[in-house]
Amino acid sequence: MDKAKFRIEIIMFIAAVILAVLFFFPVFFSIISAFKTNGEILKNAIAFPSKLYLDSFKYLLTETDFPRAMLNSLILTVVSIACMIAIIPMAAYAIERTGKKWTSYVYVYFLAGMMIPFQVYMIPLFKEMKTIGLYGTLTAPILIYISGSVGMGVLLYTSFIKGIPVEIEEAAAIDGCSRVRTFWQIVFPLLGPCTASMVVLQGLGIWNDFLMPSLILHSDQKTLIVEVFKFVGELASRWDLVFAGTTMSIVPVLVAFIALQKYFVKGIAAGATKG
Amino acid sequence: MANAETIHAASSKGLSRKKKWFSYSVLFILPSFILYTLFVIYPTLNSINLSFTSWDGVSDKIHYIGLDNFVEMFHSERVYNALKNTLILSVSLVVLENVVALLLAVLVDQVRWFKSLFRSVFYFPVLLSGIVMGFVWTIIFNFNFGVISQLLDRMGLGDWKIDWLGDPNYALLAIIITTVWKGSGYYMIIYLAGLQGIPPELNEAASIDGANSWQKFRHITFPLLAGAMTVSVMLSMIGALKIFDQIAVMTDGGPGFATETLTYIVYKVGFGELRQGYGTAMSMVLFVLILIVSLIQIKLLKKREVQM
Amino acid sequence: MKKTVALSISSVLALSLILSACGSSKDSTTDTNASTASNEPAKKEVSFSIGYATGDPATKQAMADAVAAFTKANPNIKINDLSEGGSMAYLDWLKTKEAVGEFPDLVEMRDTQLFAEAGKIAEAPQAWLDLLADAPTFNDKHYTAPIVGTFPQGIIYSKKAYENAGVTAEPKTYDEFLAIQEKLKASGITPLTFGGKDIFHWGFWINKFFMDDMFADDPNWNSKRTKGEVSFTDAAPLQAMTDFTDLFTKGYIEKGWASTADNQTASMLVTGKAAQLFSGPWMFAQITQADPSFDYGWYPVPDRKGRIVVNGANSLQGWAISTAANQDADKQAAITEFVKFFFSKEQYTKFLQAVNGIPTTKETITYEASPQMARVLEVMNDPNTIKTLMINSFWGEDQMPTQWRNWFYKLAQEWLTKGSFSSDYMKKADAEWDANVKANAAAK
Repeated sequence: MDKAKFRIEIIMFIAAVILAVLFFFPVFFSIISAFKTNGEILKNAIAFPSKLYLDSFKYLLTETDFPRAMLNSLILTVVSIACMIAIIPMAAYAIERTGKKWTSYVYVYFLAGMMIPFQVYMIPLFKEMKTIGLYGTLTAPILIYISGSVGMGVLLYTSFIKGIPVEIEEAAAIDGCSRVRTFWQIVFPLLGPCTASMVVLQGLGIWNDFLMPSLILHSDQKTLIVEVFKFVGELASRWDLVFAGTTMSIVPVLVAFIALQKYFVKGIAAGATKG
Repeated sequence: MANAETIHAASSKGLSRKKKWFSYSVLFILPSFILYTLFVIYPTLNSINLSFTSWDGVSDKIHYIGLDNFVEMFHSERVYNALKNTLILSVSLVVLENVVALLLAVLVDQVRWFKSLFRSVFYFPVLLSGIVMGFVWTIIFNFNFGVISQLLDRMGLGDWKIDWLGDPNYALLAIIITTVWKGSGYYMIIYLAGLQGIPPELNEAASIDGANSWQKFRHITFPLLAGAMTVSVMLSMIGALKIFDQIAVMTDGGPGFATETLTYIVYKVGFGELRQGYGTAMSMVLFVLILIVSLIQIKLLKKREVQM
Repeated sequence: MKKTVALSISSVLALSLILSACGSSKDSTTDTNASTASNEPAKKEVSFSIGYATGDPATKQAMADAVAAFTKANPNIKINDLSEGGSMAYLDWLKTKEAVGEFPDLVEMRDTQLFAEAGKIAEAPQAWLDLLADAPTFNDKHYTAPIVGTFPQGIIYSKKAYENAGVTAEPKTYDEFLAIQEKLKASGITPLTFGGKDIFHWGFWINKFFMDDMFADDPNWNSKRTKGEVSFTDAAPLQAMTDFTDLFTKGYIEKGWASTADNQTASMLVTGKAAQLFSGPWMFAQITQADPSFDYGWYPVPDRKGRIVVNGANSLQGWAISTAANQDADKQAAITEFVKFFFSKEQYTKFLQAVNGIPTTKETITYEASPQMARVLEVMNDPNTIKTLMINSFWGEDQMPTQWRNWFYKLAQEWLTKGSFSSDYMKKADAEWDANVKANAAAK
């Protein structure tokens, strides 16, 4: 009996290893290719680099806008997330705790936004941005990201706040705390897991976003992904440089993931089951 | 939604407090409300408006042309083709992503060694940009110098080489492979959460009653995963309807029109072909599709909640 | 109550501070003017932006060199080079620039009519026109100064592959050209590489046949199409696209055509994966760079009547000044200064040599051309050569609706991948043309 069980475990393990190799291959392939010359890639794509060839990275860092694009992506992601966290939990809290008819209308109004795909309002949105003079600034995508996340964010936060006992807040109110302080000092810290999942889900979405920033930003404000895309078209024949570029966009995500693995997985699970 | 139990009700002492509470609520909601109204709802309403115009996206003048855009759309082979591709893509992606995700979840749940490493590896593609990985896959699929072609050449099977992205019979398949690779990990996590919510006693009791692994999966695990599956199927459906990045970088809608989807032609027609009025009219179809899927999802989830 | 209001106001303030901090950095270019050149007080500090197509690496480099040389000689003028590569078509790129308010002050115009009609570009200053041998007009107005003469396309072939296949002479007729393809195929090499991943590459072959069968005899074909007097289902366009399709169905064009990028064609050629490429002289630089020892030749492909028809008439393409820059006298003067410098004998010679270009100036420019380029120039100077334009380069009444081109190239991909060409596709081409004309008229 035990022997049979062990055999099944071995088979499962082997299956998992094979799948893991398949799943990791494209990432592995782009990383090893980044250290090869163009000729090496064309001749033998799957071999390891014969020696560590770093010229592609040197080229990217000195001759292109990569460093700047990375900074832009970082600014967009951090500022948007910070603003989201500053306003959305607050709104969800007010909706959930007020519990009046009008707040439930507001709730449904917000939720409707989750069903509107970006492509539907993209064209008039750009026109609107042009009219108010924000087209071509970093502010525009930030506003778009915040607004676009309201629906999902309110949903996540309200369902989470529902599970927090009201007594804690009552005690604070009796102690004379203002509503604003009660929220930020008492309630907000309790929303940690929810905030983590917001940061992860929305952060990834912004970091990896392509269509909107590629259409709305000035040439000196391109994000990393837009820069990679531009680069891929321009240097379609220079795979060495292209892979160095893709690797540079993969590595920060890989590092963040390894460092924050726990939150990533929890965040996705929470976001998905609640969403 | 919210129960009526509020602190206000618990600690209210008079009208002034009630008023104060109201103004706090408004204050808390207002920033989100304003941004959301300005940059989601307003442009959406505008979009409906623009779909009745012949606006080119550049000109300052906008002319109303009634239902012309919609009439043209319903007569357009290209739009039907895009709709067809969107549906093929959605159905295949929903089936494949969920099958693969369920398989991965069971594997990760059951495997004895390196559980979390496997989970991370399967999950990792989710984090990467569709543009970047789409390009890496383009090179893997490349006919002349790609990884698959090189492997086949080396094995002496050069005749089996396929121009994956250049052959309309395979281009959509190549996009499906790439998307399943990229997306399955996400749904795996949902199933994994579902699996871990199943009390181990159930399986133990079944074992004592003499159930084999398949019977246990069929009669215990699978029914208890129904909730996770509803969520996962709906999310993958919406994701598939919105697919854009992979197509932009891998095929540009080609060869010919073989991989054009709704999201793709909304962009292509609106920006590339200077017909933004027509583009927004097309986006309305996408809107309706997503609306239907979302409403079904809400309905199913509500039903489940009642059952529980 | 007061406290809360104060608090929320300050948080709103903080929010707006964050937002404005990350706002546009558009103004940064003008700031830098103040820091340079203090010992030349006589000259005013001016800056302008420039935009040009970067599809070809040699051209991109030559343009960047010209800008650098000019700013070195004129330290008071700063040029902000907006050009960037990418897979976006040049027209789409320009439209995006226009949308974000970054339309270049000095811009390489390809779709001149579109932007002239939209009022984005102004008439070219007289000082520019004085430099040029001949510049065509649109609505009797000069908008552009042609950067180089229109590039003709032809066959770039590997001499070694021709030798191996026993090909000794250039073809005199189209049938001879086809015979060469058969010989190459028989010798075991793929005759032609084709950069089908890039949509613009489709224009080379498709227009070759359109020019042979339609535009060589009737330069006003497009306007007749718009008026409905001719159709794509007529014998001439049908013949053109049948010949085009045959190149694929007869196996002359490489199997991986749909995934080969335009800039990979040079490596296909030098690595011996294919024997020939149908493209323009700008490829010479890429080929030599890919393999300096690669021996190749160039010739134009004759049509079925034995004529040499090339893409080579004057077109509206060239440098143009934006309406906004034209209204600023200092900018206009600085830009004119640059244009004069660009077309000056020394600089222009360098540029032409780098891109294998054909001069457009009044002043005769001669440069040491490679044997291949010498052959190109010989064909262009031959009075028997019929010079016409690609379908998308005509203007005025003969303008093709701009959306139609890429759509048609995609249509060609569709019939090629489905494996059969028929007049049904040409009916679709007619319908799309008419729909585009109608849509464009409705938007005006």
